[in-house]
Amino acid sequence: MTGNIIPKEATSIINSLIGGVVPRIGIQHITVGRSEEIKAVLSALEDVMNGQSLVKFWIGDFGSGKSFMLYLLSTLAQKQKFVVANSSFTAENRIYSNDWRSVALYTSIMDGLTIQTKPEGGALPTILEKWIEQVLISTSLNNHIPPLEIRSERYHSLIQTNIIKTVNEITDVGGFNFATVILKYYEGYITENDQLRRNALRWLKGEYRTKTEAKQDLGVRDIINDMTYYDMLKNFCKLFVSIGYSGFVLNFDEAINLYKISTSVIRDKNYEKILSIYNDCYQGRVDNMFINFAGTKEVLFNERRGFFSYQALKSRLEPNRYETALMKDYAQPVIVLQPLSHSEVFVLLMKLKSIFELNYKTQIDFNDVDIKTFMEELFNKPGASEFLTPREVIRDFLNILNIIRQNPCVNKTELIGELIIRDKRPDDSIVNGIEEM
Amino acid sequence: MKQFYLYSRRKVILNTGIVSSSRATVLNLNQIKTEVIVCLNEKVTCCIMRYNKDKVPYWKYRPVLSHSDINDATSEQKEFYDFFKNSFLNDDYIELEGNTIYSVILVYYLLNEYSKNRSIKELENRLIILSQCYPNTEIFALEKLNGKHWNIFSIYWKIGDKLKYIINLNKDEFEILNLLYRPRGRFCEIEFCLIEVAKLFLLLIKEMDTSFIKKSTSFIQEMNLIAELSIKDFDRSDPYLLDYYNSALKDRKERLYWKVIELCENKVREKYGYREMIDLKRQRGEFNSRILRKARSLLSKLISTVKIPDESTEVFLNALDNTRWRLKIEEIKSTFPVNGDQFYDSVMSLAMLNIKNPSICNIFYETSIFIASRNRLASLRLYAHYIYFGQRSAVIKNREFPKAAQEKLFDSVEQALDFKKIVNELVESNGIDKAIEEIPQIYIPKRKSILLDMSLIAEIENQHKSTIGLLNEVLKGDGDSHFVRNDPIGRGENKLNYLLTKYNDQFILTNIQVETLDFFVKSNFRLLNYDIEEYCKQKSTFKNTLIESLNELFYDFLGDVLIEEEEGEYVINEEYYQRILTK
Repeated sequence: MTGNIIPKEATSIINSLIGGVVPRIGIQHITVGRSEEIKAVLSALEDVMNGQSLVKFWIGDFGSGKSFMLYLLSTLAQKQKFVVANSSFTAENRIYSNDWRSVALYTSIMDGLTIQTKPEGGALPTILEKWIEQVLISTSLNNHIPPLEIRSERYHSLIQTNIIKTVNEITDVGGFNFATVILKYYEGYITENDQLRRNALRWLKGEYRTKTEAKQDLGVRDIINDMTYYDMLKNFCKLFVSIGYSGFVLNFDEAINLYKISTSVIRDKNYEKILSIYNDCYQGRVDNMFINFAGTKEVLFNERRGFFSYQALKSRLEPNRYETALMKDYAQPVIVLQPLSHSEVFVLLMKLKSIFELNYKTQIDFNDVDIKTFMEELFNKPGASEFLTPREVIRDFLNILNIIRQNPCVNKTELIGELIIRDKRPDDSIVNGIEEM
Repeated sequence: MKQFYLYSRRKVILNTGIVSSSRATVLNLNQIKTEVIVCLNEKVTCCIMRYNKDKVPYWKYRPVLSHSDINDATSEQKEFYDFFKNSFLNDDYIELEGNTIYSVILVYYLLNEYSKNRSIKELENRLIILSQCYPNTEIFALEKLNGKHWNIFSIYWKIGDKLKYIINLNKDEFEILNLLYRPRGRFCEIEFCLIEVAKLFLLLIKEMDTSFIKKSTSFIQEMNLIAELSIKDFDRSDPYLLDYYNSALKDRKERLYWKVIELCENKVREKYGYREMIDLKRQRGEFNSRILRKARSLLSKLISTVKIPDESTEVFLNALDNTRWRLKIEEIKSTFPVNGDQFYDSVMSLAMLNIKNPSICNIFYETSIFIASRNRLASLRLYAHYIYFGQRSAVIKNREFPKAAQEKLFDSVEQALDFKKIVNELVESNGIDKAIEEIPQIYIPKRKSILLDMSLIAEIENQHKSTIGLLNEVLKGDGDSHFVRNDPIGRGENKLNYLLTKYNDQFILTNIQVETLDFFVKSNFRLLNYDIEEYCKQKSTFKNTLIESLNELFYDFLGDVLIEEEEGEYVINEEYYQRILTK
């Protein structure tokens, strides 16, 4: 049952799942029931790697595994040398706004940039330095300058020229300012001016709010604002690819926060922005970009406030009408995640028990019948149909195994009988109270 | 002897109770029966009335002139009539559920039979039972019997004669009451009501006599005087007209007494919550000022002496006034606003008293909605009774619960469907007991059994295995060869700098990478951020690029980063370091 799982993965899986989070390594061992979705992810990543751009909408009820899928997607993308950014929509982060909320979203994206060796985020300086180093190497090779001398001041203008040249190749909009700031970053590095480097990073992350301040610090006339942030993301995407990364993956969770926008005009503007991104990706105006949105069914299908309220978006996102429960189409932009079936949960729990035993090098007296009893007890608890999620099932299961491991004489039936289900859904009562404006 | 026999019979009927609607009888709604006690040939007989298994075919009432009127009935009605008639003749008494016309036609059948066999005893017995079991037929049946036995009529209709032995009237009381015929309204057809009206009337006369003593007169004298005054213009000088005068005087007296007893009857009706009142035309002159005004004043005090109706009387009163229950319901609602069980019991007791009320369904429907938010079981049980009785009503159609009530009653569609199933079975089987028993079960959480299909599980396991294989390929494979387009930093550096090192052969490290690792080892695997920055400046390289290049190099082997940043310093996991050394 454990297959080729290694002890380190077993430890990571058990510790993370007991803590209610997705494990950093060994995630592949808990992907029961998601074979088709995973194939769809790998296929999409390959397409993006090959130059296409995609937008996917991961739709499912509370606890259906949307965030898990985004996490798995991030892990796979990082492994395949993508630069990945994970962000969530909040009341302060929007894809369209005119009060800096889009820039706030942009900042959260740039702060949270990850690569395989920087999975916790904050990868922007690493990526920039990697690029500058590439420019240095290519300059040294092209001009037959020894690598150890290329950083000396006399080659500074040569490097500047090469940086500007590369930036001009990859940028459509705002290229001049972008190149200027990158040069400032390089200058800060060469001259050991940390403040200059930090200012350059601030600008690139959209943290400047006034042009005056930016001009004072960096000598640039413009800053990233709500109107230009998306162009800057596209510039970065091109930069990442030119450095050698496979592409840029952007994951946006909690799309419910767009649905919650009470002003219909602003909400529609946000949906219009999503449409514009969608069109950019599918019409080939941007390469190697993979954007994912995750939200509940109402976010997509609600025709009063959801994405489907915006007719142009609805016509693009309508499910394949030939799709059935048995014949799913995972190639379409919308992937509806079905909750795990009882059989799938059963297999997952069997698997977890094996991993648990491997981790603690023990045998737990909890057989398949006990697993079935555990599931029946849990699914028959009040509230199970409304707010029981795989996360809760797994955590309760592992907690029971832990108790049995430490107290082998404990009564299993009593343990199972003590299970309680709590409503841990986000409080959406506010949504119901929203007055349409 | 004959008269005594009849009085005796009435007395026995009253003392034992015309209708015994005991609690047990009514609560067992599946077997509703009414016990009618009749004394025939000086023997007490108990006639048990029962509901027919099937609904009685509705037949709107109309005047019936002969037995041949049965020919106007539909085949269904005829079929039922034959069944009803044969049952009756075999001492099996079927409830007609308001379709009185069947019993009226049966009266003509019995009269026809009499004309053939001339057995007056049999006719009398049959008609008496018929009139007691089907009270709406009573007057009609006794009138027909009167045609054969003349003395029955006066005994039946004169109040004094009727009540002489029942309430032990003295001579004066008897004479006064015998001035009056029994009121023809339905209220006084109920003997209990007639008795109470008569007793109140006699008490009123007594009280008025007391007040008239001061004026040296009496109620009777006053009534006589007023009657005489009302015909004072009558010419009594002509002896031929004297008989007319006496007749007119008698008639006037009777009318005056009638008005007084009607006043008493209205008071009793009011006390019993009977909404229909006798229209007392406004009286003027001496009668109003000398009698009625005083009578009204006295009655408001004397009404407290009137007994509250017994259960059988309540049953008849409710049958006559089919919305009388509303007052009681309001009382119950205000008494038990929270306790659903007590509310249910009270409604059932009220329903028991409305067993002959054609609107009994409305009691159950209204109360089931009222209690829906407080006690769901009580509400559904009452609704089941509504359906049960609704089946027997030609007028009331099964109404569903209002949507708001449904939301309070059912937590899920499944519960609503379960209840609907119970109702459907009730309609089909007509068995209320089973429905009442099953209702609580809809709220018992149904334990969902998990069915595990082992072949499906095996299929899922296989799919998962192939998914793990696929993911292992991606996550553990050497992604660089496939995914990295340009040479990343640290690899594209001058290949001449590659060294044979102490590290595992599979790793090709540059000078600077080897030196950096050595620097970490010398510093006990920990370097401050400042130290590593200084070190990178000396080596003319970027700190992040250097760390990144090392992490990237060993990532696939270790499955984790080699160098981690921790609060202002960089750290190498010693265990990882041992693993990357040459073996």
